[in-house]
Amino acid sequence: MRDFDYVVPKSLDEAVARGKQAEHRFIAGGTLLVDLLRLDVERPAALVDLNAVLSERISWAPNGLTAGALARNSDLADHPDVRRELPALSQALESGASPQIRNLASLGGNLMQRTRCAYFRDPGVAECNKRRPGSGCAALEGYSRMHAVLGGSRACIAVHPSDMSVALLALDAIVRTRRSQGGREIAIADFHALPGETPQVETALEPGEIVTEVFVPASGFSRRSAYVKVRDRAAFAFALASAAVALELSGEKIATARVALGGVATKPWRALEVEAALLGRPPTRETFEAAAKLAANGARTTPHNQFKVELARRVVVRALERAAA
Amino acid sequence: MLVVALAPNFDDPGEEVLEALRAELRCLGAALLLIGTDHSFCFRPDDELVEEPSTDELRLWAAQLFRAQGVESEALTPETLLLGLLDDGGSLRWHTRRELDGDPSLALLEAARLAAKSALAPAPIGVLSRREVVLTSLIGALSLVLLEGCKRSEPQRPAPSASAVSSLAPAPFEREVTLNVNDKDYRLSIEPRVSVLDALRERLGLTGTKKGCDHGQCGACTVLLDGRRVNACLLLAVMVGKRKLTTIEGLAGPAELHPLQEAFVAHDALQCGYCTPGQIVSALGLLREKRATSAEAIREHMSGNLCRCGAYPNIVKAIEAARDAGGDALPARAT
Amino acid sequence: MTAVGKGIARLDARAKVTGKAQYAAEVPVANLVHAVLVTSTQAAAKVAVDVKDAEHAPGVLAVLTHHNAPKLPGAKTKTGPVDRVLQLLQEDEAPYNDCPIAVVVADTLERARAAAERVAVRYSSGGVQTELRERLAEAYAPKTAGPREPADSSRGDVPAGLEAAFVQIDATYTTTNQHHNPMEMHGLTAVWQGEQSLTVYDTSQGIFGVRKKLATVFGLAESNVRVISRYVGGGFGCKGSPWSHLALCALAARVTGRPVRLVLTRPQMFSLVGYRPRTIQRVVLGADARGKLTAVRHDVTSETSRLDEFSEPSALQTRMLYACPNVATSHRLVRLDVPTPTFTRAPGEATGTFALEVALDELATALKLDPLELRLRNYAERDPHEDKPWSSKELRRCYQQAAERFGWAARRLDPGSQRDGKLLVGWGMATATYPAKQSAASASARIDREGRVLVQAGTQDIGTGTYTIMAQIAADALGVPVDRVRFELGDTSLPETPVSGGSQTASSTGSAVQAAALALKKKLLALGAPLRAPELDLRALDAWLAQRTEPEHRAEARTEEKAERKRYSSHSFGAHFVEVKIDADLRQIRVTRCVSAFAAGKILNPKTAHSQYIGGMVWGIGLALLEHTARDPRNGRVVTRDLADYHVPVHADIPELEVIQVHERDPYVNEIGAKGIGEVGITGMAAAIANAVHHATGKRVRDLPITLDKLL
Repeated sequence: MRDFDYVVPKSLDEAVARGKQAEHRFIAGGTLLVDLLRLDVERPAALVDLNAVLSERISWAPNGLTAGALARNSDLADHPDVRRELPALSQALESGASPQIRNLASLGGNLMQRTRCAYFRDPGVAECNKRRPGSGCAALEGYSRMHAVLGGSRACIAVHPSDMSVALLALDAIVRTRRSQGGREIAIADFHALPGETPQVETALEPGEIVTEVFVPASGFSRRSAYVKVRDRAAFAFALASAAVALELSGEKIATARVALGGVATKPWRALEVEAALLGRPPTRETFEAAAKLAANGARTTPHNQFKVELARRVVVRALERAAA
Repeated sequence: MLVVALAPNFDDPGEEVLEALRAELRCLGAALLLIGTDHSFCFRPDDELVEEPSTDELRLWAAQLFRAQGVESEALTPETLLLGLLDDGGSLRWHTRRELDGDPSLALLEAARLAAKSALAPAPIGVLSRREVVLTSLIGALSLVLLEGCKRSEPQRPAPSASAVSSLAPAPFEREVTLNVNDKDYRLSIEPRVSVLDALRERLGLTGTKKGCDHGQCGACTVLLDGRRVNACLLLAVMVGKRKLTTIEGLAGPAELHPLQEAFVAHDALQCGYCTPGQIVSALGLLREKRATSAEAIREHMSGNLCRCGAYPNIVKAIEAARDAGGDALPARAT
Repeated sequence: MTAVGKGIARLDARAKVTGKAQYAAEVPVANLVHAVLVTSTQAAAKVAVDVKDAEHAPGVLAVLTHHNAPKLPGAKTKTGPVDRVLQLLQEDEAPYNDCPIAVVVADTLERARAAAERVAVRYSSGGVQTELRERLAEAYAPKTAGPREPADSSRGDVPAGLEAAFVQIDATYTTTNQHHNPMEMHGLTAVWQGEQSLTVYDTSQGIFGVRKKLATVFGLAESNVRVISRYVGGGFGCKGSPWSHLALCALAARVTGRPVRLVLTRPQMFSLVGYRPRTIQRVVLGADARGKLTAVRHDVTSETSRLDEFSEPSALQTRMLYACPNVATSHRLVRLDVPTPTFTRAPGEATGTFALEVALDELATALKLDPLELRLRNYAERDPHEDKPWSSKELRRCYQQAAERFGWAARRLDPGSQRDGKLLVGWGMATATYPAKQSAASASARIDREGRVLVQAGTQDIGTGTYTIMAQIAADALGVPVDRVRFELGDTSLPETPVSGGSQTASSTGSAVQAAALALKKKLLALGAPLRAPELDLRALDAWLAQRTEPEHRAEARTEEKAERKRYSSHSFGAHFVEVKIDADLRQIRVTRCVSAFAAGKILNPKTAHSQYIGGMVWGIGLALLEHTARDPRNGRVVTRDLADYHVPVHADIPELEVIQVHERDPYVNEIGAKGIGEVGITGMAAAIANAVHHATGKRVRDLPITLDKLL
């Protein structure tokens, strides 16, 4: 861990200005950044502490949820309105990390979560396009049981490990930010970037831009949502595959469907074909199984992670069954 | 190496001072022979404290020792502490004199600290060992038990320092912070990269909080931050501010254990004990969250705390027992 | 007032629950500086190390590499058969990935770590071979399987037995690398007193081995090396041998003239302190129509390093566990560019029982026979390998009591026939076994004028309860209450005892402690002390002691395996009955219920014994379902190098575990009649789970760990 400075800005604008400086990194909960600092993956010149300039506030209104970027994962998961109105979000947060980490980790930080690719996390490995652009990707021909089968490129197949972002994607969340030109809103679907040839670029944020809050609209499907996660251990493990789904039923038919996948793609993955196949059908296991077959369309697998294709289908079925119940 | 101290009578120095003395003596690889008017201690850092009556012979021997260095111990007032570092050549390499105007134990500790620092400087070329002679005179003066303690010391001159200590190296980002741990304020000067875990363990001597992975993956470092459980390894000390930290050292009262600690003992909810402080503090956090509603719930919400010995079933039972005994209270402390 | 056999609370528990117990890297030492290891990122490579940047980093006292490290006379010397070849910066080589290539010493931990990151290394590497499967043609027979046993065995005529068989099973089973990962990482504090005398505060299962190693490496008299290890935060085998970091820390202390502390990082724990090697095991069984075994073959191939030889003795239990006239076993090794493996909880039996006991389950399935019944039909009434009677064996009772408690009789024979909603339910069982060992040990006992008893032996308490059971043994032998006894351990200045491994501490050190206490009692009685059983009058004893002129009375004893014992074969036995529930769609496997019964001679403390048993069972669950170290074949680097990627079980993986301690009297095994319990719990467990998975799904997984992808 290199030596670095520590700066506490007094205003959001000051934080933005500081964040634009070379090798300055924002820190909120720190659960991710301190881990990467200690691994020598992150080597900032200074940390800019956002705790004094952002909000922890969680509030529910008829049109939806507004949560400050500092809202702790555990507070958000436990919030009675979130539990009732956005069950997939609460379940996703509860299934992530450990209680200790959830007590520290912030909403904004969770959105910015980095991959768990073991090659990315090990500076002893020379090849990682995310860590050292242009150096290659050790995972492509390496041990890739946890890696992405969707959204990968020749430069990177690192999986996006988030649970929460998958739920936010299914729930059409909007990310509100502040940059020097002022505030803006970014749809969650546009927030995370595919690796392409630039896997080091992970989000739509500009240098110095700060997530200030997240808005999750109340919708016809948000209440009927569920998150299901499959992992090696019974708890405290990253997803082998996960699914966040939301359904709006009209009579006996599915009127709206949202299906998002975690643990299998390079970013939280919207399964649009599955959604389309669900529309207008009765919410039965047969419908779910038929639609879920499309979940991993376009998958590119390695011998280690091939099982994720089938697992993704099954986890979608289970999540749909749970949401429909 | 032997640290010889001549002083008026000492009461029991107390565990805190003893622990600090141990640290100095370990650095020196030395035993402390403290010769008081009535009683003498022989204190080796990793053995029992041995107390014996002071004999005339012992005091005479010590007086000669200091006299050889031009220090007349008889001429000192009874309020003076004389402390010397006896090397394997049988001669005093270094000594200091302090007036006992405050707590004599603290003066002793201060003198021992200076002695340890002095020993780190390059040593002069020594003469051949005469320690047998020295020890023989000790043997005459001390009891059999005391002898055994000293025989193990195998005193030797410390190795010369290979390179200059660069502890004065610049630390541009270092800053003063105050950490409130177990309702006590600790001021320390640290770099921003220092974690709460390393601050507790390496700077404050609070080693009850364990390091099992240093990456938030094992829970051994669990502490409470304003009453909520967090991983101390993922928390930078500069970011804590005025928030209160509670560690395992803060759970027990002066006499009795916290109900969780009692339950862990009763249910044998530990084996090697290394994950135990983290399990207990995490369990306290869990009980305060009111989520220990069933064995199943306890297992789910304690999964951030690994136990490699496999004490899990007993830990769950201990938490259930503590829950039923109202064990969710934070320790009450006098402020 | 016997203390032995009572479930008294662990005597070290209070220190541990209050955080006061000081582990190796926590012992306060003034003027301490910190060392950090730099390890290689290539294997089978020559290294050139550039330390310019690191040396000039703030706070740095020294950077040691093969370019400047002092030559150590004993760097390559092996001090015994279980000692390992160390890498002490004597050569420009990195034989395996993550091999030590530099040591950085600085005034704070943060600065040492930062400077270590600035050490630059150039490698020149040839080919790297780390895949066991690809190098089977190079397999060779080791000198021994395990430290002592011959690599091969044969009795009867296996081909003839197979010829005569009604049913044959021929299957290959594979187990993967398992890393001990004790919660306390290896670490130590080293302090020199001059050039010839060294004290280290270490975390060790064998402090006398550490002393011997350090004395050898630095050319010191053993009496000038003191090793102290009062608390050990878990060992499981990886703290049983001295490893490179230990000598490197002492070297750093010597060069800098400062007390030095060095703690491995968690990723370094995956390469510097051993691991359980991968095994490929072929088991061939033949049986008659009633299930009586007619032939057994068990051939084991495991990996070792190019530096050293370690053989995982997985076929040893196959020689003795069942009555069969025709049995042949073999052990082979393949040398790879990997670090040297080492003992891991029940080395051999943990992996070997997986192969053997799953093969038996396959045989039971083929014969449509209840798996428990199959074992009973092949019950060995005496040791068929050594052709000796058992010193004791209550395995039949273990089977009966555990099966009854579990409700085994209700099991349906057909796989996939039991369900619980969306969950497939499977029941499996297997036998557990581990040999009873005893080594020479010494102890001392003394009593002072206030009637306080101090018993000492250099041994270690790695969480097994040594502090507690030794006090119990001494109290009974002397005839005083246990609260009068204090037991000290973990210091080479105390009487010498063996390594805390092989489940032998109770039998070895326990026998010595008992003998020392008995010798003390004899001395006291000879002096007329009122110390006659059964009704001890403590006040009379205290009065007698108080008027004695001696400050204390003292006795010592040394014990070793009795000659009589050699006429018997001694093993601990047990039986596991396990229920798993498997999500029919998602295939997540959970152990939901487990009843295990063990017979291991006298149980000294049922409370700490229970903890040992469940600890072994939890390890069995990890071995069966979770634990796997992935190595990148391109450079031999461990990919799953932290506790997020290497899965040890968490709370949620472990159900309530039921243990039955079956009464067993063993008059022959040793003075105290105890066989050892630290390892038997893991044996058979992986097989019982694998058998339950088969029962639930009909799918036979022969490759550990059984992760859900293998069931999709």
